[in-house]
Amino acid sequence: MTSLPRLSFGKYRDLVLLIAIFIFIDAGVSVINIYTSHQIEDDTSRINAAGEMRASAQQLTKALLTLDMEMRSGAITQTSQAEISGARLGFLDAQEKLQKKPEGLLKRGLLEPEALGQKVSEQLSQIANTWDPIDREVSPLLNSETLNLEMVSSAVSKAVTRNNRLTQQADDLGLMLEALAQYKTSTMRTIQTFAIILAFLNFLFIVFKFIARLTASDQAAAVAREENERIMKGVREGLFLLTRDRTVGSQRSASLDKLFGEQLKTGENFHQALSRICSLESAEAAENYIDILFNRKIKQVLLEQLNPLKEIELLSGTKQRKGSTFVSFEFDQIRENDEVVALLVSVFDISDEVRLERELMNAESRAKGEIDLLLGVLDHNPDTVAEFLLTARRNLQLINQELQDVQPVGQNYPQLVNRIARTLHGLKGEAGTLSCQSICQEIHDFEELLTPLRGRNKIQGDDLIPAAVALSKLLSEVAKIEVIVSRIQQHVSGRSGDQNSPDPLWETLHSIEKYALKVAEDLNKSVRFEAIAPRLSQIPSSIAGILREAVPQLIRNAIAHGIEPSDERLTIGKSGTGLIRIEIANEADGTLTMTIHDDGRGISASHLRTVLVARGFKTPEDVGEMSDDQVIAMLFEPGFSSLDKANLHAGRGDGLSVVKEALREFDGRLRITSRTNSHTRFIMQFKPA
Amino acid sequence: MHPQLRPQDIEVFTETICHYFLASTGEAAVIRSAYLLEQGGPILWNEFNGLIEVSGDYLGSICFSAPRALLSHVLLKSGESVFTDERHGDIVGEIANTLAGRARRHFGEGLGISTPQLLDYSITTFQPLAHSLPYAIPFLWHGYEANLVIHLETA
Repeated sequence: MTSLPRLSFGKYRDLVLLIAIFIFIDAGVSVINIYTSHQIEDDTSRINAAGEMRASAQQLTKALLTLDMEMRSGAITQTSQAEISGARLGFLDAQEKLQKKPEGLLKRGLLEPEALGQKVSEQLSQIANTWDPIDREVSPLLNSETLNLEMVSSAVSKAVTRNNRLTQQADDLGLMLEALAQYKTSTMRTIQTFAIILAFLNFLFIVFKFIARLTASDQAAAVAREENERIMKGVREGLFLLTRDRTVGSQRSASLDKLFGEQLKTGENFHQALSRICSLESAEAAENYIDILFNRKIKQVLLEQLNPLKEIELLSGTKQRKGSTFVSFEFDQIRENDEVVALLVSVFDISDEVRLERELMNAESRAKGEIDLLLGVLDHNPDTVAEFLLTARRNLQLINQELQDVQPVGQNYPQLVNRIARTLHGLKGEAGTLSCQSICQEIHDFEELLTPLRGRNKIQGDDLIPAAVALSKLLSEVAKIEVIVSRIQQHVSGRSGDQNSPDPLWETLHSIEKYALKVAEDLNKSVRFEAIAPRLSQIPSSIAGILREAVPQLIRNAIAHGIEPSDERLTIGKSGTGLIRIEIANEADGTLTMTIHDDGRGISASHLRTVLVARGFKTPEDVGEMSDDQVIAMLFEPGFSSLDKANLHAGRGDGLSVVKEALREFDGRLRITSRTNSHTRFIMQFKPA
Repeated sequence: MHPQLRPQDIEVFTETICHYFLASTGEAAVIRSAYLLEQGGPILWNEFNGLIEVSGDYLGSICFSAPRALLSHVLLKSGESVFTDERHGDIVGEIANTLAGRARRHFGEGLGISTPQLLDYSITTFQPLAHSLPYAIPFLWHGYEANLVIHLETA
């Protein structure tokens, strides 16, 4: 049920009342004017009647004298009789007009003093007393049949004797009536003057009262506006009103534009403004949230936790600070008559909070990383890790030297990118076997930025700026681990007398096992690691090099490409856990054989043909002419991978390329045997030196 | 914590120099691959070196270094007929000044930047920062090579 709005003048009540009084006074003056004009008309009529009475009395006396003369001379008397009758009737008419008593106060005259009215009445009585004897004598004369000289003489005598008195009484009456009219006119003028003065005073009161009130109101508004401006200039938060039609209001704090890095225009659609300064997803989320906030049935407290704009990163470009700018939005419903009419939007700069929070998270992550690193390194022979770090540093310095020396001509840059990628991939495998995860991650990031450059024929110098930055980060990481390993080496060397020297080959195989399990865990697969190797007092240099550079690549490939996920293995009747086995054997002729075996899905030449065509490495005609061995040999080409997307451990197409380089370096031969859904074996043989 | 420079931080300066060459001579400079300037490496400074020192949120310096012949050629292309040391130095100073302005806009209000200064290569010594190596970015222009050395790390 809605109730009708009550008529309320509010703060204008006084003004309406005063104007009503003004109108009332004006109306009163108008009524008095109308009444006065009627009074004047009435008074004029009465004064005229007094004059007519006087004239009729004189006319009657004259007509009686004429009749008397005509009677005496025997002349005709009708004319005189008619004059007598006319004069008599004129007198009686005037008398009747004057004697007509006004009824009530209004008829008598609102402003007529009773004393004056009484005098007029008395004067009229005296006139009637003077007139009545004359009228009694005159009336019979109007009948011709009974007319005689005696009657005429008597009437003449009566009229002549009373004529002067009657004339004087009529004059006096006229003067009285004039005096009465003057009195009333004067009184009316006084009342009118008073009313006009009253109306004028009322007008002045209205004007001054409301000018004073408006002035005070203006001053209060000016003070409020000034305070509002000061608040809006001083407040650090961005404040503005969001209207129901989702547009930005005209009042906003000065800091708002600074926070946003651009001007938010009055009347601008907020969603469009938000789309410019933050991500489209955030803008969409904000739009939906604001729609809900304008729903009057939903209380704000219920929605505060759902606010999707508590931490928004502003798009760069116009930012004034170093690093990212983060802001937080808060929305407060403004309700009128239980309807949400607008939202008060507060914007806070939370960049420092976010930065500190992230720094804290980074610090925690770094601390955890460093502990993991320390624990990982402690699991390995520190000399082996130190040797790797030295190799890594030298390789990275070589990359730096190449970046410095390379001439920007021909295919030098693309070739350099491929060389860097292979070097990095080899290092990543070694770092993985030695549990140097932070180095693995830096190399992975480095590889990520090289990926778009690979396959491009045209590379410019500035395309390689990110490579220099990644190289710097990688060198910093290597240096950090060098410090840790150096301390461990000092500690271990101090206690070396207490330790028995472990078998170096089995120690390396143990590292490879841990690496295999880590890769499997990262790829969400389950593997079992087996190693068959003779006891060696010293690892031959070829085996050491292959174990360091090639084996990690083959292990990674076996797990990433070969071993199926557990559920897939179970559906084809395999054990849920895959097998990775390394066999090292001394042949009778001194040849060393190393086999990497996995019981995964095997290498499918037909699948590789499809991938080669799909990736544009070969045409369908080319792959049709290639043998299965030639197709499998393509796996060793740099940049070719059968995976659709690279991850931390595979998919860049450099792993087998690194194996090929290592085999070339250590003069090894490679044979591959594989059966689909059964196994893959990489068999490497090294002749004795 | 020593967050290193990002590639876009370096590209701001390389773009500034490329724009300078293009605007003042009508011919673009070619950027060569950037590399790290290792301690004990070759002396990079040429005859004219314009350096700005940075403080505040970042510490270190940015230096543009060019040989006399390159600068003479730039003067020639700009229609100049006076080839004094002062005029050569003016170009390097102008580039350093432009780099300073760009750095201020890019890194924001928290960066303190010194007035560009011209250095005499014979007395310049390489002062390594604690946690990072300087980036060297060579520029090729008309067969001459100039170098930009950016050596900044977070304070």
